[in-house]
Amino acid sequence: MNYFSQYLPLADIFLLALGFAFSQQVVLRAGVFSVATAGFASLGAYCSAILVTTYGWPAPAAIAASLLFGTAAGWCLSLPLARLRGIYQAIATLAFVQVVIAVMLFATSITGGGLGINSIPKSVGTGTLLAAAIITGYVMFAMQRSGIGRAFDAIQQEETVAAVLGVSIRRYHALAFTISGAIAGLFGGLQSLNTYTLTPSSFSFTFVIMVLGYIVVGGRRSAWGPVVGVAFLTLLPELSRGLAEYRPIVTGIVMIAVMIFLPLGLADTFILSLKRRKRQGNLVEGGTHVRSAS
Amino acid sequence: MIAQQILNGVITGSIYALFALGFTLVFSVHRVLNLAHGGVFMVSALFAYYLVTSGVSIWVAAVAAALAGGVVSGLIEIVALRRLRRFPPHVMEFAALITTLGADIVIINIGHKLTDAQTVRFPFGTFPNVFFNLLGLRISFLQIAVLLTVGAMLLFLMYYLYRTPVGLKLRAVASSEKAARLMGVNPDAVYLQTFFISGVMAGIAGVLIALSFNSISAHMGEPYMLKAFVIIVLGGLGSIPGCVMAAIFFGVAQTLCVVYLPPGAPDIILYSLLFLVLLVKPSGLMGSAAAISIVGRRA
Amino acid sequence: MLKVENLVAGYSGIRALRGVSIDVAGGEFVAVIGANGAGKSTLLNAISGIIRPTSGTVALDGHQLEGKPAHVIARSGLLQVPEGRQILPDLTVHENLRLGALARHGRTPDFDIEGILKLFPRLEERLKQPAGTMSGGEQQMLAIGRALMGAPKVLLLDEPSLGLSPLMADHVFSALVQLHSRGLSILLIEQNVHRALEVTQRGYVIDQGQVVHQGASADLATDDSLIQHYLGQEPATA
Repeated sequence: MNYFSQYLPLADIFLLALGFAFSQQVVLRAGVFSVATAGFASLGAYCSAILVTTYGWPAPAAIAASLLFGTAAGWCLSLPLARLRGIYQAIATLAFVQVVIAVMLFATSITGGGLGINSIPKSVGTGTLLAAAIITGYVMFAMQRSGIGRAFDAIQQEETVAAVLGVSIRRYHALAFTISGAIAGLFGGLQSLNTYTLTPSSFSFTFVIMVLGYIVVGGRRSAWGPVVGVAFLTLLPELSRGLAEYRPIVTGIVMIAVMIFLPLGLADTFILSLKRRKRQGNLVEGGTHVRSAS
Repeated sequence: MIAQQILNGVITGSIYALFALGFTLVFSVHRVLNLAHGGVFMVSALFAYYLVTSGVSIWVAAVAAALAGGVVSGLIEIVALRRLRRFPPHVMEFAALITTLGADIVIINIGHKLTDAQTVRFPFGTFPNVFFNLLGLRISFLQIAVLLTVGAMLLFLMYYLYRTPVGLKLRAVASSEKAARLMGVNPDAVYLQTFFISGVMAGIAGVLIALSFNSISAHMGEPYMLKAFVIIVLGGLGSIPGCVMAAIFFGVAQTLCVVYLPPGAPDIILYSLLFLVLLVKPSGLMGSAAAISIVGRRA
Repeated sequence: MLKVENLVAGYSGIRALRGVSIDVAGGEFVAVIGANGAGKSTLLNAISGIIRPTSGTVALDGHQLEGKPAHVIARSGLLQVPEGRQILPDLTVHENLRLGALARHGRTPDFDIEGILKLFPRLEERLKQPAGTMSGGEQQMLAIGRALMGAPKVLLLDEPSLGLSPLMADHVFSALVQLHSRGLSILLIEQNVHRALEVTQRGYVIDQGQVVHQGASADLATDDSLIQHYLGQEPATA
């Protein structure tokens, strides 16, 4: 489960995980059950690593290329996948992740195969990661408040209703895929220039699980969801040393418990209960309407 | 040569079918992809290993491991899924993936601790190592056991689902839980039974596969989980005979790819195939004839 | 036989049922009528245990049933024919009927499959076909037949005529009359007020989750102002 080397500073682990969590959240928020984030991240990471080590590109250009590559991959994948639903989407995107891993293993001359790419010069520090996370977070917040956010909500709640309201589900699903690809590509690139080494297994099934876990624990709707989820799952076990050994088991138990008791996730449940409290205040004033509603 | 490869492929496919049958059964009743199936499979194999190393015969150990698989699987239903059924289906579908994933992580890491992250092996001679030559084809006693077990499981499931009152209840719940409840069927009991049977099947698969490759490790279920996804899709999502046909097709295709293609290429081809099938024919590759989902004969 | 007292229930905080008391004597045919959204289906689902009542009692032959899970209530002999029929479309007609028998719980049924085929001859030729391929009326017959297989003490029906052609609705209602004449206790929930009051003996009118009127069906049927006020329907013209 420790796909991030434990020697990395905690802040870097947190910020990279946060980026991938944002990428995962965008799709889930729009009602797309995609686990493609791992595939996009892998493509972005290899893109930067290869450009820097083989072609000697400067880091900023390589990262920009990763971002573009991720965006393109997200958009391409959305073309066929926006028509699928639910479990079909999940399996298809998992197949995509597996194809990416298999290609990385196969194309040894370019990717180094199973050994991966080593001694990548470290050109991305905590500051850059922080800047990237803040910008991504800001975009997520802005989207939350825009029409896109409302369209995503409508789709997630009830697709038929969304269709009646004139929301083009396919278009928004495609948009969600593309944004997810862009964010994952960017942070994949950042990770490879931050962690020295890159292998195909960096973004395997384990990665898929962890990233899903962040959103499940944190929440699918609010932009605070990924922050809370990543903090909960990466920082808490790290800070309490005794627990670190049992971290995966704790993660598993937390995933079950949160889904059963707080199916919306920590952040979303909290925000919803705040809103409810507000609304209940309003209801008392207009209490006479309740009867006719029943 | 090619005949031998095809036979090997059929055996590989049967091994996949062993694993995928229980997974498919749960999916067809629950519409839940039980991601902890691989964990149950591993736990059973590990349990059989501990029994065998403490002197129990492999046959007794296999039965005990199968039951252990059933019990663990039943526990997963109670802990990770029962309380999710109050949610609407689309929420449940997502939530179930997460909770079964959580259960899988817990089980795998317990296995990890128990084995000290090592691969363990059955002692030499646990299973009689006998080979037969049939029409110039070489097949081991164990491989014959695998083939027979797949056949027996398939027959059992078809009989159980279509010829017994319990099977009728099960199909009723799969078709409409509300209606089944109004007819006096207790869905909790049905789901628990389904998980138990699925777990027993995972257990048998765990022991046979551990014997076949003589290796048991905490992560032994993962590659099979990925293959089970492919098989469940190719077989038409929830069809029991479709599952076996898809597994054997997959096994043969994989074996031939491995023999005739450069290393690494088969995975690319097989997962791309899965991707394409989902796009082009989400109802499965095995055709409508095989697409007998357990709730009935769907067109 | 069936006694419901002060039943309160609702969905997600909205109290759709606010203290309803009704009873069905042995061999009686009783209607519950009311406008759309008056709480009729909630009443039936609360009795059947599909939703859990917040307070009040449901007793069948003196046994308390409220709060028990739906399958236990069904096995005790309170069998509901749900709205929209809820037959199992992928199972054959024969399998659907066999499924009904699972609720018997030791009681001797008045109807076996042959008896049901006599009541609904149309089902006979369809026995082997998936139930979902039949017409709405045939599915309704199957749903009633399936409940009868479970040896009901009281049969509960939720809008059996909904979505059926008038001719099919006639078939269904005449089957119910036949069942009643053979001594079955029936509680019928219907929006088709006139038809319901024609066939039943007694009726309850429900509005906003409460019983607002009750009496002999014949009397209710002639009370034009009542029907217009609570049910929003024109008085019978025929």
